[in-house]
Amino acid sequence: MTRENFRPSHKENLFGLTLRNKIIILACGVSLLTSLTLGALVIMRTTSMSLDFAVENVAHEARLIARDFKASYNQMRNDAFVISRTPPIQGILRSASNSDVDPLDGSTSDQWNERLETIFSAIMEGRSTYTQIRYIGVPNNGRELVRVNRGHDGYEVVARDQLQEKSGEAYFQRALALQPGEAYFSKVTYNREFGKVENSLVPTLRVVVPIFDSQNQIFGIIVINADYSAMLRERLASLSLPRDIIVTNEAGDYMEHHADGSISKFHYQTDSNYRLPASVRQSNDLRLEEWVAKGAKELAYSVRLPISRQFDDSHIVITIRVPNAELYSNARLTRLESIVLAVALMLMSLAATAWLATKFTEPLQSITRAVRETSRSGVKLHLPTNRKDEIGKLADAFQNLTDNLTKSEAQVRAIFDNVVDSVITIDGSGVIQNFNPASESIFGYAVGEVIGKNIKILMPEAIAMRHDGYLEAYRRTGEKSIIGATRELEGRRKDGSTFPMELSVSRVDLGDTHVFTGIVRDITERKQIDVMKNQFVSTVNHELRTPLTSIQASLGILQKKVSAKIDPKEKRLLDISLQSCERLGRLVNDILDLEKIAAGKMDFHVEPCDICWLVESIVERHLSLAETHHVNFDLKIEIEKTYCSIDPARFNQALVNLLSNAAKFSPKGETVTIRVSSLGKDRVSVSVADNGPGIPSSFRDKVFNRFAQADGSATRAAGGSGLGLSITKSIIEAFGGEISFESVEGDGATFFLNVLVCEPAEDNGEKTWRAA
Amino acid sequence: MAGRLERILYVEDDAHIAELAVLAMEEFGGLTILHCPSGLEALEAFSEFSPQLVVLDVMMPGMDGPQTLQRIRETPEGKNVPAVFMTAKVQTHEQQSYHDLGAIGVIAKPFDPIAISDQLQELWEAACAATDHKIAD
Repeated sequence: MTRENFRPSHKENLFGLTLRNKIIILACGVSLLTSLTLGALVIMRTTSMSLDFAVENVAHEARLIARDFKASYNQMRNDAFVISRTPPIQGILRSASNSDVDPLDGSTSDQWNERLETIFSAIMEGRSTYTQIRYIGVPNNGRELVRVNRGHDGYEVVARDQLQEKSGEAYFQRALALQPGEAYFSKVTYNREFGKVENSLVPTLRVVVPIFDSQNQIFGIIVINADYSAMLRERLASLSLPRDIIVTNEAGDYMEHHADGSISKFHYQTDSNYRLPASVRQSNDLRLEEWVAKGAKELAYSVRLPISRQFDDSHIVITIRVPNAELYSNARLTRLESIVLAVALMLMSLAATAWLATKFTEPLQSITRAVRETSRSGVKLHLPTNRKDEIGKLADAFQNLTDNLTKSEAQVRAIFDNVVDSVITIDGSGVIQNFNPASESIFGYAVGEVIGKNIKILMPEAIAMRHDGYLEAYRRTGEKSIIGATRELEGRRKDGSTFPMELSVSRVDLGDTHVFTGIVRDITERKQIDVMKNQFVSTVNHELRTPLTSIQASLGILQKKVSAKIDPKEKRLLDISLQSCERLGRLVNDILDLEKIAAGKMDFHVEPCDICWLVESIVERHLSLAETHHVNFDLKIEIEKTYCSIDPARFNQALVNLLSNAAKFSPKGETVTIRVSSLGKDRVSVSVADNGPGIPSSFRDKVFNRFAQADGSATRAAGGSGLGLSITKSIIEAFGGEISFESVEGDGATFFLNVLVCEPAEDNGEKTWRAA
Repeated sequence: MAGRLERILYVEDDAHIAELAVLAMEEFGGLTILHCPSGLEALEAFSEFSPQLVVLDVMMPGMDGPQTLQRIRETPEGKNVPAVFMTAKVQTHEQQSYHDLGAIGVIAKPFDPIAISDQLQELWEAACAATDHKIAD
């Protein structure tokens, strides 16, 4: 009846996660996972793409630079071809083969030489990287015909006597194999004069173009020497690209352009401090035109530029070196952007889910608040049942449940409040939890005075002391000494007075705890009525017996004293008076017995009793019954000494009733047989058989009714009250025994008293004291 | 103490019953009976009469049978005198209470005037035998 059970627990909120927080965490987890996955994917893709883009960019730059260098080579070759087509070339050829006089215009060899020197000088003037331009004859064993050098102050024509023989040089030999229109670029070597390397160590690139005569025989070669170092420097200097660029040739000679625009000196392969960066090492596979080398720190993109493929695969390689940091800068930016985006996304989803979760769980919270408020204050519960979603359904179901509970509680409460018996519930340790209005009037306490107190305040001290023992024993052993039974004991009112009460206790299980419900009925009035009734019965008994005693004693004495002196008619009157008196006495006894049996007040002292001895002594003491009715009693004991669980005095009463009936209904001179025999293992049957008229079949089901007489007149004549068999049946059943009979109409009846066998009592002393 | 029962103090408030019982015991049993109509008179007469047996009615106005017996037991002469109750209250528990008061037996009312003297004689002898047996022990 209290609302204790609805008290909310705050534990979950402290140590657990609320549904709302779980939703938020779940949503954040999902969005975090999604953004991480997508971000990682995007970063991977953009890294790869921006790398590809950067590499492609670098490749493009390298190709452009390579094309620039190609232009330098082309310029040299074109210059050589232009020279080869100038008139002095053929003029010198013609004059040489015509005794130094040109047959066409009469110019002398010297004149042609001078003209060529002028042309050479003009070209030298326009080309700052050229160091020499020469016309070398072939038939004259490789002797220089015309030569212009770059001097300190510009070009200088080499005097005729200073001209050298170059047939031993490698480029000269190569030139002999050239076809018309072909040019040859030599390998880069230090310039040699008179067979020795010049001191100034000028790395020199030479282009060679052949000159043919009219018979298509090679007559000479045009050779332009260029300072390779200067040539590279000029080109590199013209680049405005902030890149690390290295230009190498097939021999590995290199020059370096730094990102800051500075240009290194030319590193010749044989120089002592020659050190080509690893990333620039050339690919051995000459078929490759471009390749990429990816290192831990940098990427190097190389483009191969072939120079004269037909002779010795000479080529140069342009390599651009880019630090990885620069390459990946785009990718890094993308990664940063992705992370920022992911964080922003997560924050947004956090905010969104927090808002949504709050919105979704708010109805649950309000339900919880409503339930708590109801359990605290007891006002009727109103939940938001009009929502269409799951929460609405939950609220609806809960509302229904609560309404039903409230209804049934109201009903139970009405019973509890209005029942006339006291209803009290206590917990396992005896503390009173509920106390109904009837209890208030019975015990004199107000509800507020006893709730929370121990039940013992409602008991007299002696019972209170035992009560703790009951509860303790019940807790320990589960033995229900008082549960489920109705008992009579004393209660104590607030004013200290005691009163008789009837108590029944039942146990109510509430999950892992239980309470006891006690129903108390004040039986003061009933007890008073019982006492009055007992007094009444006792008084009636006394008041009836007193005159009866006088009458019977008078008649007895009279009969004894005068029977010899009076005539038979007078004697007969005396006998009838005495018999009627005895009958009246028995009737009073029987009525009192029945009264007691009906009230459950008849006392029984059931004890182990030797049935054979008992039956024998009863029959012996009542032989007078046989004599009175002129019959014989025949006792047949067919078993050994056996103890039965009976009250000997009451058994005596029951058996005497049967003996009396049998004697009464037997014809004169017949025998009544009393038999003691065993009936199965655990029962003894005491039977009384007569040879009387038997029991009519129509009467058999009424034999044990009160005042039951088959033939009223006959029975009355025999002096019976009609109560005997009813009393006998009650007595025998009180021992746990039973009574039955067999009868053939006109051929007697046999009554059986079946009683339970038991163990003999330990104290088996014969009783010295008995009722007479 | 063995011997023949001769002197009985009889306490009975009902005059008719008393008269008949005295008649029966004296006439058919040859006993000497002193009848007292109340417990108080019985107490007064007890020491002088010095009976061998006391027969008491139970329900009497004023002092009832058990109370009378108790008072008799309190006197030096009446400390060990055998007593029999003659009463209509002969339910089992009632008989047990008489026994607890020290009675040697109960005669149920209505009594048999012819047999009553023999019944008393029998009870008295049994009680004497038991007492002798105790003394012998």
